[in-house]
Amino acid sequence: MTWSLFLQTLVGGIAIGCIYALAGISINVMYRPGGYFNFAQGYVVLLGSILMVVLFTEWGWNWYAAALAIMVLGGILGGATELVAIRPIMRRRSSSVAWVITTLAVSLLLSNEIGARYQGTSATVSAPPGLSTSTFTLGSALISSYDIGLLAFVCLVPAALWFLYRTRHGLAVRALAEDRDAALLRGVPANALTSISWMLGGALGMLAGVLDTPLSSPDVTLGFTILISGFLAVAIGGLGDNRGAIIGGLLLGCVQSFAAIEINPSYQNVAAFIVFLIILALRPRGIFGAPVLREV
Amino acid sequence: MRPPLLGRVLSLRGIGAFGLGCLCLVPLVSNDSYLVYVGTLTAIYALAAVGLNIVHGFGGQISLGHGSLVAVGAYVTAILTVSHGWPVIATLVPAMAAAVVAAIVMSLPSLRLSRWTLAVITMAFALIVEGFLNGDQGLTGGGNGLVGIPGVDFSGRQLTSSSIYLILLVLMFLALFFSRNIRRSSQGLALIAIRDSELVAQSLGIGVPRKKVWAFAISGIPAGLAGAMWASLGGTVSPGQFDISFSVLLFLVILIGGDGRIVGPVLGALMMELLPQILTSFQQYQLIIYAALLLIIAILVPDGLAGIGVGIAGYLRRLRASGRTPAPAAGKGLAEDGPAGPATHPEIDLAETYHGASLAVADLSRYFGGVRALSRVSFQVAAGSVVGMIGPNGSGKTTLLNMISGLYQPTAGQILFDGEVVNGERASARARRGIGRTFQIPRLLDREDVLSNVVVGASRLRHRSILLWLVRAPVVRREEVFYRQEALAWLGRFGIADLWDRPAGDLSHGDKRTVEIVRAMMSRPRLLLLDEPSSGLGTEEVNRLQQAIAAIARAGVTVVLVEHHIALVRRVADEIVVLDQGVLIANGSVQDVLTNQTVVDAYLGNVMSRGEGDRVAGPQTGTE
Repeated sequence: MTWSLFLQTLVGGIAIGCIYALAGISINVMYRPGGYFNFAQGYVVLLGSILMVVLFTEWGWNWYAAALAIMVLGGILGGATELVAIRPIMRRRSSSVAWVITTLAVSLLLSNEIGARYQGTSATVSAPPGLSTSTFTLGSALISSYDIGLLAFVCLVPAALWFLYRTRHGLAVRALAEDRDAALLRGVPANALTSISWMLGGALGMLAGVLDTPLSSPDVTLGFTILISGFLAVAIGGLGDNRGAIIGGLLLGCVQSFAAIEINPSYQNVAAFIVFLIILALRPRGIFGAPVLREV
Repeated sequence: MRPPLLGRVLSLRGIGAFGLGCLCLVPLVSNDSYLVYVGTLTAIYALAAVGLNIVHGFGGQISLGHGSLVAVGAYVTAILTVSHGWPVIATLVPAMAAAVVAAIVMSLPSLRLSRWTLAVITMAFALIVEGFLNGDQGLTGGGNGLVGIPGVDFSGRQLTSSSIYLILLVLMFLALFFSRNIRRSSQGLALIAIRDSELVAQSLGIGVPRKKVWAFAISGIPAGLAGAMWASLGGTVSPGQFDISFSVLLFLVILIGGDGRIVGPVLGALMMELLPQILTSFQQYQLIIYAALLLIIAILVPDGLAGIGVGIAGYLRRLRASGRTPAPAAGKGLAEDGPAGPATHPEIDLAETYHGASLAVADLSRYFGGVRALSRVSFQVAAGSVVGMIGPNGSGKTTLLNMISGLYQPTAGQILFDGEVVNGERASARARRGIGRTFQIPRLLDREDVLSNVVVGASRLRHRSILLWLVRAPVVRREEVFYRQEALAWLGRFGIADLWDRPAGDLSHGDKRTVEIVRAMMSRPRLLLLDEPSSGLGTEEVNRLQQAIAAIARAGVTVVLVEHHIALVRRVADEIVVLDQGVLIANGSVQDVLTNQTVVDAYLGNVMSRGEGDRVAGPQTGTE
């Protein structure tokens, strides 16, 4: 492998890693208040990509307006999923695993709808105005301003969330995650905060899809793969930790892109999984995961 | 005594089984080749899902990669028949074996992961298997898969599709029968303990990691078989057949059918296979209706289709029971399985059964980060004695208990049980040595009846050979009756024998405590650790508890009793250990310690002047 190919692979890995990181962060955000997340999140990301192609390429919307509209839709979808597929079950039995079925049902619904309506185009979306996907040489690497902008933006998301979790309501969400019963006794509005978290998760998930469109065209078969990549990013970094999600996502993206070049594209998930297992063996709760101190 | 034959046939279960049997025969009678095909596919799904029911329904482990085990079975059959010319029948055993190996590999991350993480990781495993199937052109034919897999032939004759359907029905019912026997075995009970509380399982000496791998391995057998039959039925295999949606489908099959119910996989497979067939008339709305129905079923019927049947049965039983005398029908539950169902039970020879062991802790310390929970604590407990451990909230009592039982490892110091150093051993290993415990908040298997909750205590003593359990050999049936009788004897001794068939989740708090103590006694402990057994009990219940502890002590078991109820400690303990802020401040006979000025200042305050029976609240409050 030549030096320039190495750098090229690295840049590609980091770019896709940013998408995984953002998908992972969206899972974290949903997971935090109630301890459950959306198994349809992969399809939510995918839907974001497809809507971007439709709004921007086919309907000719302004890039930012399209992205904003899609995020709003994602928020509505996330909130609706929680309202329809999670809350009725949790009201009956909070320890129930039924949320796995219901969010999987949502994922079936989305995948079928997407499969039926979207025939797949090779259309890609250009980078947002101000950035470009055309590459320039930096050292011996070919890099685009979009790659740099993407990485910078994705790194800003945890910082923004950090501030969000330090507001009054953000603090309440952290209280729910720490000790649900105690938080409920203090009058924390769990339902409202869960709804808001799921809206935010939906919006971030769709945004991950939107940001992926300048990199590659949407592939309707990849719903679960995106979910798994996002989740692996989170599991590597430590469930609930957004900085960890970025590190995990970038690591995962790079491992995949090197495996695809060096071994065989079919084995890129295998390589990612092996790296995950190694990290798991060293740190069972992920890089930033806190150990559980008291169980009894 | 078994209920009369007619009554059993006319029971709800009998009617359900009859209906299911009739439904299975419909394709054969109609002789419609399409119906036979649908029936065969349903049977294959059900067969594949039986194993998943063991992993998730019994063991509580979420697997969203079960379809990859079916894929492994299918590809083994395909490769052996197409590339090596084997007959299909000869490939069945290799297919099952390969699926078992794959299942074991898939289960390995489960040893270190929480439940939801495992769910996604098994999904990733399925993705990886798919990657291999796609990637290896030479062996698996890559994306196109393999074609030309022969049908099942028997001594040179190709079997008709109807006979293959029949064979699959037999295999499916055999798998259901075996899964029922696993459910009722000591192994199955251990899995349920893991599902409901891994801490309880460990405290009873169940090797949790091993048992999880075991459940996955078993689940590979029917999955591999289903894969092999499917490959032969379709004549081709391709990676697209076994994508993640297939694994997800199998998981939905058991949840829709009834998670942990024996017939769940069949009902779920019927639902998942028939629903789309029925919905074809709705054309483009088919999939939306399908997904919406899944949602509705999950929300309205959280226990699945089999759960509806169980609910009706429970309702009918309550109707009938309302006229029944609440006799301690001790024999009833036993008679189902065993030769004898006596209403009276032989007393256990306590002196023969229980042998107390000594305990010593030396310079034991435990830090949580910068917090010194326990600092250089040393004391000894003589074999067969009762030691009360008191101290304010947050003084380190539960931490100490957790270190003795092995849930925490000490930062420094030694723990000697029966003269041997047990530091570093897992909780389950220590439980197998004879360290039993109860929990501050009772932890029971809420969905199981009281008798099972008690019998599970004996897990570490029971037969492990699953082959004997699969056929319910007389030796394991006798053993089962033996432990059930012992359980009833203990329940009777503690005055709650008539509750034996209640779901543990429905019991009162006091009864839950008693069941937990009885469960611990079933494991034949040599040292019993009781963590605040009197908390939440009324006066009458505390008196019962006192008698129970006295009975345990008479049996010769060493007892360490963590308590705030000083009167109780005074009445049952031989010695007292007092902790305050992680430090041992007093240790000695009951009278000496309770009049010790340091103890009075640190903990008791002026309680002594208020007389017996008062509960002492710690001077400083902490989270415990």
